[in-house]
Amino acid sequence: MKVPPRLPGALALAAIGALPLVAERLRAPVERCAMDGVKVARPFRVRVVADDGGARAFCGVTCAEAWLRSSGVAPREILVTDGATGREIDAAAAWFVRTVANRSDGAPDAVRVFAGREDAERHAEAYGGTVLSGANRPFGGGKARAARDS
Amino acid sequence: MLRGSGPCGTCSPRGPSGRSEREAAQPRLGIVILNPFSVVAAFAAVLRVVLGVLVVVVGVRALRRPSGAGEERYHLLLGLGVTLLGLGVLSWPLLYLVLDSYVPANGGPAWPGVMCGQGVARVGTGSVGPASLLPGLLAFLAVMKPLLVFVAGACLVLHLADRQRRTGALARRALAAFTLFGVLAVADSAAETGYLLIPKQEKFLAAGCCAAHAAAEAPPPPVAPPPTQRAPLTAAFLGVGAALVLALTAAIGRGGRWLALAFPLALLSLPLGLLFLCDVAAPTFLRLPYHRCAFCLARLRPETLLGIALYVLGAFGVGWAVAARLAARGGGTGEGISFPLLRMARFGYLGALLMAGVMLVSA
Repeated sequence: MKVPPRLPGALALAAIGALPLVAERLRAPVERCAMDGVKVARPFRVRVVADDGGARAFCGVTCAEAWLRSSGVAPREILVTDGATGREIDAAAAWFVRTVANRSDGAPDAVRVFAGREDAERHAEAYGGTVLSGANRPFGGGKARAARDS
Repeated sequence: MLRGSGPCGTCSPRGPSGRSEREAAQPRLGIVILNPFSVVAAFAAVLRVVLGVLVVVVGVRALRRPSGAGEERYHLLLGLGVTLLGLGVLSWPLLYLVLDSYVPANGGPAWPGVMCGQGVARVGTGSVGPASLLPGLLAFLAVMKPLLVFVAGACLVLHLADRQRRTGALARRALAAFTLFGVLAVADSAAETGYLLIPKQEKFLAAGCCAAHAAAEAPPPPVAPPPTQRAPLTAAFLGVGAALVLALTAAIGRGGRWLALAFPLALLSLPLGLLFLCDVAAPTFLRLPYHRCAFCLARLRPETLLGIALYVLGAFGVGWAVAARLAARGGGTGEGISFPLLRMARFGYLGALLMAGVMLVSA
């Protein structure tokens, strides 16, 4: 049987067209940062819940802030992870440290989050850095934060 | 603002500045990075330097001889050139595998803020000392790798055009092309060896405890344009691609006049393709609207590598077809060789466009 001369090329093109769809189906679902695609590490995870109810995960505070700035989305809720316990807490109640300690996964995030002021100061003491307050706090101002900072 | 307890009042002198919390006990970078990828790449680079020098020496000696003499040298040069071509083609993806292996998440050094090959490519920026050469060397290699493959392909086209007629009319041109290829290969492999051997330790002029703090606050890489601004680029990419497919089909069916249209379009398609890759493909295919990184695209959607390879094959195919036509003017039989090259180029563009289209629709 004679193979039509264009058949191999057409089959190859069909395979090329199908490849992205097949690859997408085979990919295992992994939680990745909505800003830069880095795999989200549980101890640093930040979640932003938008007004429409859609939630996005981020690899850290820096990425979450960059995404909020770029997208202009008004968040209904921002949840951060306490670096000491791994518990998810409201960003308004958290303490943030601008640290000089690198993250071992290379994520471009220099902010650490703690539920307690003592933990934040201990981190700043041990690794070098600054406990952020007032206008320097991530995710803007807030009544609770302003009251606590004063 | 609450502050730490350092002498400058801003940061602590006792903390392991700029160190990973988990890897605080590990030694700081200051050595050549050794891993399986970098060792293989270094070995291949040294081998290519040696082969490149041999190609240049044999080529120059053969060119000095009168036309028609030195047939055995031509065969030696061809053998060396083809070996060098194979190694050169392999070294292209290998370089990017090396960069990927330097990423901290893949077991590389704990560089702050480096999460993919693009971050590794920025290591050394603003540094003093040997590390300051790293970004320049990588930029040079990013241009040289494809150029080397293109020149090597053009050499083979010239050789085939010469062999088909059996008159040897193009032998000296092929010799000169192989010699040029050898020079480029030596430059490329020397630069790669340099990149691999330079210690990846950044040193900044203001190396106080506050410098690490400043580095941690460095601005993030540029973000992708918003979706509304991507539409014109997408239209230009698909339009130029479709025009190329049509021009190549016409060139295959009606002769070489259409090649005169396809060639400038193919030249235009290279920067356009690169822009599309970073500004449209990466944010769209990754569903990360603000992330313009071809490295992350290749890492997280590896199937796009096939699309990139097909697109490059298309552009190079047109270039090689033009080289074959030029060879035909010089007395070879390049006309005949150019048709399969044009078909290959059309297949490359068609495949790349098809893949891009499917991914754009499904994203």
